[in-house]
Amino acid sequence: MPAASDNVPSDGGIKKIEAKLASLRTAAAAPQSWLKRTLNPAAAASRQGKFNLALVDALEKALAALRETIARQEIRLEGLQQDLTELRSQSAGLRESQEKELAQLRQEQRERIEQLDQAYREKLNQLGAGQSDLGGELRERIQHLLDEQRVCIRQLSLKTSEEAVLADRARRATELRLEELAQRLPERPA
Amino acid sequence: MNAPPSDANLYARAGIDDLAEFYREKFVSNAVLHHQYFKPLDRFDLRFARTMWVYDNVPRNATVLDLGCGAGMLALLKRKGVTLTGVDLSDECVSAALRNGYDETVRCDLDALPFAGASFDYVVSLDVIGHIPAEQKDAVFAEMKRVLRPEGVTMHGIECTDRAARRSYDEMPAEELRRFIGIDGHVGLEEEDEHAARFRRFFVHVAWQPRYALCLSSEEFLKQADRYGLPFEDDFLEYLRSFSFEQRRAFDMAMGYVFGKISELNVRLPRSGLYTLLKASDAPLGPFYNEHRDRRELLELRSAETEVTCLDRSPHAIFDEGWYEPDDLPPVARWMKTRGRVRFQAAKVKAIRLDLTTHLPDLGQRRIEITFSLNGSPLSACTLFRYGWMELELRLPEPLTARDGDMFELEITADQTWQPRPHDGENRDDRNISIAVCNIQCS
Repeated sequence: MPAASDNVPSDGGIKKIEAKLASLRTAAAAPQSWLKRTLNPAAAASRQGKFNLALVDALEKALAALRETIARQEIRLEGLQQDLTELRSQSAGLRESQEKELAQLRQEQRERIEQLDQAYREKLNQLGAGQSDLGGELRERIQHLLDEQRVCIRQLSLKTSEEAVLADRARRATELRLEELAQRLPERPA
Repeated sequence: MNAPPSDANLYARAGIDDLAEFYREKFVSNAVLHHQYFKPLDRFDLRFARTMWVYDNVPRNATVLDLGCGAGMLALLKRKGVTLTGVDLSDECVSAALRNGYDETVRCDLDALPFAGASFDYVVSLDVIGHIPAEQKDAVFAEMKRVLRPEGVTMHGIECTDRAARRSYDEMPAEELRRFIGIDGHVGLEEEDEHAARFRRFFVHVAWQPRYALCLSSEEFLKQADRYGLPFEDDFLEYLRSFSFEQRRAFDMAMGYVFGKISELNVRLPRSGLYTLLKASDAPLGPFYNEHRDRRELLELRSAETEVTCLDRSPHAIFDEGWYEPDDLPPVARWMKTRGRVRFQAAKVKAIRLDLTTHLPDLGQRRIEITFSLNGSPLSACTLFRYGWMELELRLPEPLTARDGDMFELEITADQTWQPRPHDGENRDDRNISIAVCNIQCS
């Protein structure tokens, strides 16, 4: 970056030229009497020569000041151009790195989404399979219980029918015994 | 209630809050004790020694109340036509006893029996009085006397203590007390003569005899040594520990045989501080053993049951040593070893029907091959590759008729067995089992 002083034009030099030009205008504007021009033409010519010299000098100084200013501006412009180039370069680098980061971020995000998606699908599959296993196990257990129930009921049924047979036999034996006892009883007197 | 106050709330001091739950966990089992499954040979099994003492002291057709019936250790009494009532603290126990053939079971406290006075000829308990805190015993005995008929007899198998060898509850440090009561729930252990003295306050005649001084089951030997600290010989205990299921059973049968002979010969054993049998009544007592010994129903076939259709419970069916005792899986079924034979009587056989299952681990990979033969001739074969009960009907090509007195023999074989829990401490089950079978019928 150019120095701050480079931005300030050479005011001192310009003011001097302006002052010189003002004095030349004053001198040129000041009327010279006819007598002086007539009596002392050499002095008039000298005065004219000095004026011209002063004018040329002022113009040269103005030119030098202009050149100096232009040179400074060029240096400054060059600096600015360098800055701009540098900025552009930095900006390009930044953009490139940002684009890279962005691309990387997008890639990572895409991969993460894919991973999540895959994990989610796997989980879903597992859950589905687990549910299926659970269902299978539940069905198996229900079937097992039904089997067990069937066998228990059969056992109870067999026991009940055995008990019924025994109870019937006991009843018949009791009835027979009662009949025998009844027959032994003496007949009631009429 | 004249019990020493120091005994009060021993259960609470042992950290037992829910008594019914404690006893449910300790003593509820799916044991099949129904008299229909009782084999004559079981009378020698030490497991049934106390049952046999009661059986031989109760006449036919008596009314019996079983205090603290558990799963129904007195179910065998049904063979004598006894009317059997059971009471217990636990719902599961009263259900189990009912399942095992008791006529009636009631859940209640023993000091508030829901029966009218003089309802029973006999009031019996096995392994119960040692579980009643001393301060409650008199109330329980008073109830016992109330429901007993005036001439009735009360009979008990009672766990005891030996004060010379074991500290009293008051002397035990808190942790020892907790551990001791936690084993079985014994909060009312007293010496043999202390029990007798307590009964004498309620009954005119009391007789008692120490038992189990010599004969213990292999399991009880180990329990008394390991849990209660009784000093048995180390090498003997190690020998017992090495027993298989079959060896334990053989040992217990031998012990049971000796136990029975001691009773038959009326040999009086020395005090052991372990267990006593006690009889009490207001009427003069008869013989301590075998007062009403009548084992006909135990050993002979009852004519009334000769046509039981299911071989599982038929007195005409003999399950050989290839079968284990029935278990309530449910249903009630017998586990088989690698080969089991059933001999049975029938006039003619056209078909055999049965239900079977297996619990063999990894059945998918280790399928079980089963074969069936009848009278030595192959009948059928099948493969089990899934769990659950399978119904099988084996039809004979031609009906088989029995010759005079001949029995049929059904033989089943399995090519694999396994042990359910071979290394599970107190719950060890090292039987070699293959399939379970039930509802065997022939037609």
